[in-house]
Amino acid sequence: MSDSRALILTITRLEADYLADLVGQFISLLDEYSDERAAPAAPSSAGAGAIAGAFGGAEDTPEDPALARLMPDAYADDEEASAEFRRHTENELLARRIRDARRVLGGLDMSLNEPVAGAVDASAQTSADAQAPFDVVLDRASAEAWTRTLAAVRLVVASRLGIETEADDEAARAADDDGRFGVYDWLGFRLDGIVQALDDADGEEPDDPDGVETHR
Amino acid sequence: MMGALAAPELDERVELDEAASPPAVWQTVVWNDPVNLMSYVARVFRTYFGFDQAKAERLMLAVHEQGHAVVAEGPREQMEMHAQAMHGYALWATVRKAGE
Repeated sequence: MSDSRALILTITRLEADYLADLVGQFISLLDEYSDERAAPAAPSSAGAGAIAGAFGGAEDTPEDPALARLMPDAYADDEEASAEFRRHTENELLARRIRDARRVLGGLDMSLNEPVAGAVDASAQTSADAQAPFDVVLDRASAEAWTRTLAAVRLVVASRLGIETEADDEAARAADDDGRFGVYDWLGFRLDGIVQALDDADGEEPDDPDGVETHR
Repeated sequence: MMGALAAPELDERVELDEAASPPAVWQTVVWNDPVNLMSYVARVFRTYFGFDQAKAERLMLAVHEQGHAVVAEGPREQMEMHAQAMHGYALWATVRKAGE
């Protein structure tokens, strides 16, 4: 799929609003963590680490299990090597995640504000409007940002739901009484849809610059 | 099933031996998690590492069925770069010395 090819994601206004809210929360989570990590290290910290912390990333595994899963230790049995790795990679990883997530928000925002063909009364906010489908056009780079972001947001939701093993998934699903699993499954459904559409587009002949993959 | 799953690691070694023979061989390992979608993981392996569809699927299934799979072998810095990229895709990856 070359850059000129686009993937069209058709979702409802309700979904778009919900997704924008989730992605917004995701950005806040990363921003807060980023600010926290940027704060001056406590004087009790070891010299070299504290100095490195001033311009590099942090060394410790994040306390929040969701963040720890997003930025896991790179060495299973070597704390020192994991700390070193984190110091060199975490800031970049955080920055890219935030960039990706903002790109998703930007795309949603632009699509939501696009005048709907045939719309007569923009002020009519009915439940029918919430179910009204609209298209989000994703170029290659946007689609990659979307898949990375949906996968990451899904990890955070899973962590909040307490899913750490496949057995947890079943247990939490059975105990779900507030519909949070609906969100988790819906994110998976949308992510899978985009992945399938991208895979399909990759499998096609590349000489059709106007080709458009549609996923509904 | 087991035979098919064992195959990708053999392919990997042959290819790497042809490319270069680093003094100490390190590995990037991707671990199973109950969250990431199989289709997504296979796509990441295919697009990031450039594996063909069959190899990407085999490695994805190895992660899923066996709990982890070695997705790359080579110099330590390169394996760290791959691990960082995998983290960026929300995959759980670690680096280790081959044979550990």
